[in-house]
Amino acid sequence: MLDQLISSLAIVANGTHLMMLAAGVVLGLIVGVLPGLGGSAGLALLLPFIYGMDPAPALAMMVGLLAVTTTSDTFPAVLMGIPGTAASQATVVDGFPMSKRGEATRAISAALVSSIFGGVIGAIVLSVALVFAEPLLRKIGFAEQLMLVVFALSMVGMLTGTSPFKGLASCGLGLMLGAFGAAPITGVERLSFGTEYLIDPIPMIIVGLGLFAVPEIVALARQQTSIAEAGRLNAGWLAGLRDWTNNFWLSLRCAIIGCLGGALPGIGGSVIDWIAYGHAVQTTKHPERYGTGDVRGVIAPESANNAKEGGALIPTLIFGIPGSGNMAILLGGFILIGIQPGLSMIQDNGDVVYSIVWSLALANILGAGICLVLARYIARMTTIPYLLIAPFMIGLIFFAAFQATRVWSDLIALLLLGLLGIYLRRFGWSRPALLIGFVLAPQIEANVYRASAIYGLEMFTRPIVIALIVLIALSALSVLRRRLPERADQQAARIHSDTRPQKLFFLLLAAFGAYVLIDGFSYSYLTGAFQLVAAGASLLFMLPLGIQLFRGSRTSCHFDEEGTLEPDGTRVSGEHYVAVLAAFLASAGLFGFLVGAGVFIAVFLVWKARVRAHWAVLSGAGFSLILYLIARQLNLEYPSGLLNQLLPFWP
Amino acid sequence: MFSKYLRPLALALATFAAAGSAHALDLNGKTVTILVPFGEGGGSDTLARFLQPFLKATLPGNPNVVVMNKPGGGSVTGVNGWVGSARTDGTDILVGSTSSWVPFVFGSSTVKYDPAKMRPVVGFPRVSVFYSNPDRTGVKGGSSKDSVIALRDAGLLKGAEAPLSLDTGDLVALNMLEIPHRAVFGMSTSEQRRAYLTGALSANNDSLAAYLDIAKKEGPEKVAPLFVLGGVDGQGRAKRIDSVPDVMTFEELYEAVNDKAPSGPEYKTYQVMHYLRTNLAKSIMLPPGTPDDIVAAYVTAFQTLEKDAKYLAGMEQDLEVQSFVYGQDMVEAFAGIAGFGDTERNAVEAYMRKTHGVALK
Repeated sequence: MLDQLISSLAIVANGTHLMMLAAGVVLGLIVGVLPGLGGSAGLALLLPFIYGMDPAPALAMMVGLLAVTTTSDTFPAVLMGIPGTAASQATVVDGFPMSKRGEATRAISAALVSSIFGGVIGAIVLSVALVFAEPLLRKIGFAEQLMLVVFALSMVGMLTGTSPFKGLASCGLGLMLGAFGAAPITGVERLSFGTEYLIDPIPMIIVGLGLFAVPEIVALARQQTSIAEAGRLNAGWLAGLRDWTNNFWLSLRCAIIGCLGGALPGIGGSVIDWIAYGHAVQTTKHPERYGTGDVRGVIAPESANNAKEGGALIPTLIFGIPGSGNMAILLGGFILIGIQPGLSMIQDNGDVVYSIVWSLALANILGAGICLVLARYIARMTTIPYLLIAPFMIGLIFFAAFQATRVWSDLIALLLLGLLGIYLRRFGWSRPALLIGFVLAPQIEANVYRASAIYGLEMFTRPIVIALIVLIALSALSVLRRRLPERADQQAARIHSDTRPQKLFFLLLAAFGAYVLIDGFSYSYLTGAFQLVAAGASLLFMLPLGIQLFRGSRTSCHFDEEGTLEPDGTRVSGEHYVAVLAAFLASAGLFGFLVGAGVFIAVFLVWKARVRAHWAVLSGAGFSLILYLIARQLNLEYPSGLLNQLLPFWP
Repeated sequence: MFSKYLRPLALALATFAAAGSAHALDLNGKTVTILVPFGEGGGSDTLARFLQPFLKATLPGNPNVVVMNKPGGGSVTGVNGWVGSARTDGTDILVGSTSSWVPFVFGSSTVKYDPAKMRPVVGFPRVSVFYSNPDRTGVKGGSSKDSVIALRDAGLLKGAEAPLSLDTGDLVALNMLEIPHRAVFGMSTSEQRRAYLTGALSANNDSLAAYLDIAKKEGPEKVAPLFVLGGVDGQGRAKRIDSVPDVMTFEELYEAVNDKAPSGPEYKTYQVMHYLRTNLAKSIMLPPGTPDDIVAAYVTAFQTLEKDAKYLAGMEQDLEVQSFVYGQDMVEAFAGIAGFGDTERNAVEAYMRKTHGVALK
């Protein structure tokens, strides 16, 4: 192994190879920054070019690209509250409040150092695991996968906020949303409402944007300040570096969580950042600080999400079976450069496979290095008045949502889920808990069924299962041991006198749960059981919540963010901005997405931000132009509008 | 006054149009869009991106060739949209795949296309091997009557994508061989392969390349082939696979055990799934209504490609393509899948209820 590691270093350390690696890194950084586009889209762009290339430089390019999408996705997450890829959703929770405090540079530098560290740890673990991990991976059957999912689910307890019932009910809502789409076991349609769109599950990226990005955009636009509330940046990148050294062990533990999460089947890449985040909350003396801009909440997910790629490569290279969408494309790339994926890949092409380890480490360092240089300049955008940024953000999130399945329904789904997100935020429901429930729903359904079908009760005699049960018990105990003290702003939010809106919202959610429950009875057992359990559990948690909400007046479940806002005659309502989002769709419906986005931006800038008309038109046209260029490069066809139907030449 | 100018113009246009139809297909300056009804990555996408440069070089007029991904609905969404909007002038082609034809065969209400009405250009058949794990079953032998008899005592545990899916064919085959079996539904091909490797499942049906890889690494103690799905020839007969000549087809195995050829609605179901899995695995399709001369030009282009060593090497080694099937043979393969009718559906439903306790209603 060591000789292969050294001989493969010779492959990596030459000019062409390094140039290809750098090219991959730059492309990876770009697709990582653009919300909605991730490693998959970037790799697909490369595939036609790599056919017939030498294997090693082609691999360097692909690995370089994959390694750094989770590095640059930190920028939109921290600076704008929009996760650049699914892997940086947890970074938003504390990274964005830091930006609001004017600490964007600090948050980003802490994130980038964590990314480098996580990425390098991932590469080291990968190099060792390629030799030793195979017997262990072969012991991970469905029973073990089920326990891993339960472990991930136990992290929900860390993310529920002050009202445990509300948190658990949020998680239940996520499970219900995860039940949409054809049943994974039987393939029978359920909760599709007769639409073709809902034959597939609701796309993750749209749920993430709806829950996290839309509510932030609306809240900021209502405030009418810049993101950095004081309008300037304090604390520089050195502070972020110090934060990381102070939390070295946290970063290391989270990097290992990332490696394991990426390597072991069952959990899936998109909750690893949340597990790391939950772990950070679990191991602190001040859990109440999380969500308000605690730098540990940035370090934890960022250490984990870069380590994840190294972890995910372990089973991919050992078995030649992809563990994620990104890995599937990487293996597709292997085919194009003449390496047959499979169990013999490491024996047959050892040098090339080991060159991946080096490329992975180098790409992480290079990618984060480039970002570090740019960070100080990019962070300044948080000092710009937000109304100037908001229309572009709205255009960007709809662009991102459209990447999910590239149909009109994606845009409508984002609007609906954004609406849900706005009120979940306003009434203090846990959005992370909902997201974890959503992401894990298919895993829970599949693994409960598979484990019971294959092992039955015998599964509790398997050693790794027993070890995991102990771990879950410890994790659950640490949840029960701590009760979160209430923050001042949460008290203010409770005292908001008019409780009717939150009661109405509760009733709507309960009605939704009841509908899903009743609908579940109309299917056969294997199709409908999960839906019944998800809806049943949510309603079970909602019951005590509802009693608290309607009977008590000052219990911890009462929450309305409107109570924290000082009375201000000029502030518009949240519903006003829902109408603005709907106006974007109307504009796209009339002019087509490409032109409609530009028109929307121009009108918004003139009307809301009082920008002069010619600048506004220029900005809108610029945005449309960029959209056009991306479409040409990636070969996308944007949703068309009325004018596209009427006028054949309309772009 | 204008007529003086208009007449030569009209004449020129007419000549131009005539020339156009005489040369059948000239894609010079045009863009050919390959629709992949899946997201990036995966078999169809890899195939399309592999073909991209070859098509640009070979199609008349050397058009620009682009790949467009339209994921959703397990490929049904993309194909539905394509059938409605694709131009019939040779600038819109589709990567057809099993995933798009299976819901059609099973009569899914979301399918708005009929593959028999499309114009197939070329098919890239895949072949596969059904194998079991002697470590789990205790049955060491290969493809023989004795193995089947021994497996009747051991039983098999196999994964399947869904009760109504391509894997239904394997399950009814086991049923016909009277090998007791259970199925774990809801597993993709790669999940099934992985579960086989971890020992959770004791049987699997895999592409030839994947089978050879696993057999080489795991050895005969963990991989014993039972039968092959080697594709169906022009007379509707199942074929063996050249590189594993000793392994029988399901039909041969059945006959060795029962001394008669298989028949009945369960066998019909197996046959249709066999067509779908092998002959119709991947194909290049033109939309319904495409004129014959354009189809012919495309077929010629793909036949020309067979002289390109680089194309052949990529197809055979990397993309697991065993042979090429053109025009009429493809039409016959599509006719072959029409055999799944109400009788077969009822038989499958009865089998699923009895053996797996799964209601399909």
